Parts: sequence; C-alpha cells; structure tokens
Amino acid sequence: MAMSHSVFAMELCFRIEPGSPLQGHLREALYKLPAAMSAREKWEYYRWVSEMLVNHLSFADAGCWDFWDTDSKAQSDFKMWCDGLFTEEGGRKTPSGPPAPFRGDVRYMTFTVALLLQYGSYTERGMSRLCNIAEANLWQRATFAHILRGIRSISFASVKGDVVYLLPRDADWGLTAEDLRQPKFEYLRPLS
Amino acid sequence: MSQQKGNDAKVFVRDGTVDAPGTVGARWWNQALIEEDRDMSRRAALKGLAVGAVALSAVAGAGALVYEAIEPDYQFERRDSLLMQRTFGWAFSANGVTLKPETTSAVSAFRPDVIATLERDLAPSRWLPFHVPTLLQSMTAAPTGQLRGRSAGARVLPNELSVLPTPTMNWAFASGSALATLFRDVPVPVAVLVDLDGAESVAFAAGASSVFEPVFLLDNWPHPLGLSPAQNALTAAVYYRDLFVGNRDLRGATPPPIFVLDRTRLTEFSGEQESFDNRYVGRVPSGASLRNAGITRALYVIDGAGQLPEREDLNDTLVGWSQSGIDLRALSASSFRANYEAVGSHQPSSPKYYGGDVSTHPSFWQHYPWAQLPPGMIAQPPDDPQVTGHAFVPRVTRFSRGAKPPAFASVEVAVHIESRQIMGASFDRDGTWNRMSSSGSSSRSSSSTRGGWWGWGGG
Repeated sequence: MAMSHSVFAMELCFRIEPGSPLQGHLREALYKLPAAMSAREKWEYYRWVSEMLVNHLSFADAGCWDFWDTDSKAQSDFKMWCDGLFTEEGGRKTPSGPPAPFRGDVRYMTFTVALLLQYGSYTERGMSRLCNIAEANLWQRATFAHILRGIRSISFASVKGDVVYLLPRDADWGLTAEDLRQPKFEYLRPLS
Repeated sequence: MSQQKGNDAKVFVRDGTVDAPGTVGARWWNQALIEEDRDMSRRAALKGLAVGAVALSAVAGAGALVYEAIEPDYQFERRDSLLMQRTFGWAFSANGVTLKPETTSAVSAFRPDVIATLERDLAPSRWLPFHVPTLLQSMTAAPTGQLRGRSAGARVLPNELSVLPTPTMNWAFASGSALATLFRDVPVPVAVLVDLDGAESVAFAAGASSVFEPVFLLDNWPHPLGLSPAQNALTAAVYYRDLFVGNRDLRGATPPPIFVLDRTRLTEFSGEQESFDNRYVGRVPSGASLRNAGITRALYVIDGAGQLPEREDLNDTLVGWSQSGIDLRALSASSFRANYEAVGSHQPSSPKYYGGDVSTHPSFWQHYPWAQLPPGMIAQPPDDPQVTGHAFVPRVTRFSRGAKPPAFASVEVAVHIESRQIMGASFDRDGTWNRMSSSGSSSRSSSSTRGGWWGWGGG
C-alpha cells in the first residue's frame, strides 16, 4: 500500500505599500533558501514566513486556503499549486510599471505556499484540526492568522513536498487590479 | 534514526526553481518520505499486506518532534513619521545608517554657537504667522520617549551634518541676489515662493534676503533613510545664518516675503529600497492672507520649464492666489546668469543678471510688467517663454481639496500588543521582527541571529 496524502495550501494577495519591506523580505528569503534543507531549516523558514504574513495581514485584500485529506485530491491539488509556479500561469508577461496613486492605482503581490502532507501523521492530523473552520469564517483575516500561527507547529518530517512562490519578483511587475480580475485569479476571495 | 539526525539531515531537495521578473519560487521534495513511500509500496507488493500502519507509526514518532511555536508579541501599524521622530529621535529606527552625504566637518564642530538659537534667529518678524519652524527645531529637539526594549541614547543631529556650500547653492545664492537687486531699485511689493531643492531654495532666499524677508515653510526632519533629504536645507540654513540675521537691518519696515519650500518634499518612492517617508505638504498662505497684507503680485520660482506645472500640493493654493486677484507668475532661477554663462548651466559665478548681462537686467520688467522699463530699453525675448507665460490652472491632483495619498508621511511600526508601546519601524535592522532565532527546544544555538540566512540584510 502506498502512502496517502493530504494537501494544505495558502495564497495571500497583498497591496504593495510604498516603503513596506514585505515583498523585498519575502523575495530575499526565497533567494537564501539552499537547494538542500533539513526539516528543522524548513520549520525555521516557515515560522519566519508565517510571522511575516500574520504581521502584514492588514495589507492583504484577498486570499485563499485549502486543506484536503483525500489522497487523489491532495496529489492533484498539490500539482495544481506547483503549476502556478512552473507553468507561469500567474505571473505577468510584461512589466506593469509604477502605479499612478493619484488615480487610485495600486499594485499587488501574491505569496503562495503549498504542502503535501503524509496522511495520518501527527502533523497532518494537527493541520486537519487547525483547518476545521466554520464556513462563515473561512475568508476572515483572523482565520488566516489562526492558520498561519498553526503552521509553526508543523513537523516537516511529515511533509513530503512543498512549493513556495512570490508574484512578482521585481517591483515594476506588480499585479494590477485588472490582472486580479482575470479568471485565473478567481479563487482569491476578498478578506473581511 | 534519532530525532536529532532526522531533523538535521538535509532531506529536502529542491527540484525546480523559477526566477523571472514576474515570479520567483521553488519546490522541494522530502527524500526520506519518498523513500518511505517506496518502501511501503515495496513491502505491500512483496507481502500483499497493508503495512501502512506500521510505517505511519514510525514516521509519526519522528513527526512528534514539534518545535515550540512562539507567538509574536507585536503587530505592524502605521504612524505619522514626524511624530515618531519627535518622540523617539530624528534618526528613528535607523541605527547604523548614516545620514547622506557622509560628513567630514560636522555642524556642531563648525558652528556650535548658532545651533541653540537657530530657530529663533531665523524666525521672520512681519511674516511670523506663516513661518513653519519644523526643520529648524530638529537641531535641538530631544526625544521624549524610548522605544520598547531599547536602551536610551539619541544621535546628535548637528554631529552628522556638514556645512560646506555646494556649487548649486552658490548658483542659487547668486540668482537670488540678482532678483533682490531688481526689487531694491524698484520697490514693488511682491511675494516670492521659491520651490527649488532644499539647499538651493534656502540659498536663493539668502541671496534675496536684503530685500525679502525669508519665511521658512520646511515641515520635515532629516532621516538617514528619508525620501526627502531635508538635511540639505538645514545645513544651508546654518551656513547662511549670519547673512539672514545681518540682512534684517537692510530691509524696510514692511518687507515683502520670500516663502521657502523644499522641492524634494514630494519625492516618490523609487525601487524597493528601504525608505522613511519624511515627505510633507507645503503649507503656503492663502491668497486672502496675502491680499490682506497688501500683496497683489507674486512670483513662483522654479528652475526651468521642466519644473512646471507647479508641484501637486500647491495647485489649489496657487490657483487660489490668482482667483484672489494676485498677479502670479512663474520665474526660472536660471533666468539670472553671469556674462557668457549658458542657460541652465548652474554656474556659481556672480554677479548674475536677468538675461545674462547688465544691459538685459531691466528687461525683467518687460516680462514681469510691474514697473516701467528704463527709457530706451530694447525689448528682449525671454529665455524661456514657457516659464514666463505659464498659467496656473486648476487640475486634479492627489492633494486636491486637502486630500493626501494613502499612507503619505507615515511609517510602518511594530507595536507591542499588550502595552501598545512602539518597538521600532518595520525596516529597523535591530528589530526582533527582522531577526530569526532558533527554537528554544532546538539543540542548535538559541541566540538570535541578526538577519538569518532567510532574513533580509544578513546572510
């Protein structure tokens, strides 16, 4: 019998605030991740990431999170989240240029993490409990904060694969409001 | 496999990265779990038995090492930038970052006598109600508060300012002096609003201060990461302080004003560099105030047509001046040149004349027709008709009707959740939010590492 899996994923869409270090920090941290990492290093990175994201939630306009504990759904969803990185589904193809704030123009960034978890492990069951959220609260910032804080209790010994990505890398490639209205970003829900 | 070995072995191997302008990211696979998965499949195939439960329990043992999760005790909020500087010091949260340009000759060493009285010495008399002394106060202001968890000790601003004049300060000073000669000979009550870069604005006002009373409208403080290099205007004020004081006696009893703004007050963020938003909106008197003081003509001084139309924050007010019946005209500081000096070359040479020659100097009154031309004066075309002919017309800006762009002149700070005390700016390299510490339950060093390998600025 092969291993079964669950998947956890979260994507947050932040306004790129003038002077905010969030995008730069997330990008620099990604650059510093080595090609080979221990479970402990993974945990340290995710703890840092979750803290950064929680602390900037007030600047997040939209987001999405998922937890599925059916093996086929978990594997297909994890592949789907990976495709968001490798097939360049999400990122812009051309620069968007600097915003024109006097016209109410804003630029956005998204940050995505997805974890393929070993079904039945202590961590997977913990994530299952953590993600047991009432439907009315699914898209509240407080719920995202609750889950992000829970990520810090993950043991990466039970994580089979993970993918992390940031859109955009460069400041002048920020997502526009028009970009986010495209069908490929439909899954992002406005946060309350 | 021990827990320690299990958590320190480099089991996660990156199998793909994307590093493009629009996207950056990577994926890793846990080789230990992949091997575990293979073993499970192999055993199942060999024995025809479901042994998943055994394997799961073994992995669960390794997985049971759950590190201590530390809740952050702070959250990020925005605060007024100037308030943070007044409370915690001019270099708020920028320890280790020097003020640019780096100094070789500190103001405090050069002019210890003027620092204490600078604000008082440079305050106008007739136009005092419009004076904005904020920048001048930065010299002597002491912090009134202390960041949570930090030791006391404020940086002394005068120790970080240099006093040498730059060539462009000398250019602006000579241009201002040339303007003053025109109005000394023909005493027309004209208000001047000079909107050059900070040091040049102050220098221009210094040059004109024998006729015009300088009124500083400089409403920010320097900061090592400041968007607006306010230190340039401040050092210029120190440099010309003696002249400002000495020229008081040369002016008449009712001198016209020269309002001094720093054009860098609206500098935009560029790139992703860490910046402190010390920008401000120019607080310029209304047309009604000027009319009440007998002013019916005004000059808006910039440097060439490229600096027109007027800065966004001034449009409402300057259109209001025109609507109040004030004859408002734009003037380029580069209109004043020495002989053989090319337009826009910003040479420090003096004396300067309108149009570049003593013979063309009175043609100022041809383009700004507030006085009679000397008899026999030959008409001269203006250097820059776009400037002399500029019309101040209403336009919609980010500052229309008193509005401000979101987060303008504010800074993101870490606020201690329980006490509500400020801990520092989000960019603060000494802030705990920019450090990473290993877990207390970890066998690795538990000390904080500034800018850990995932953090910014370290590595």
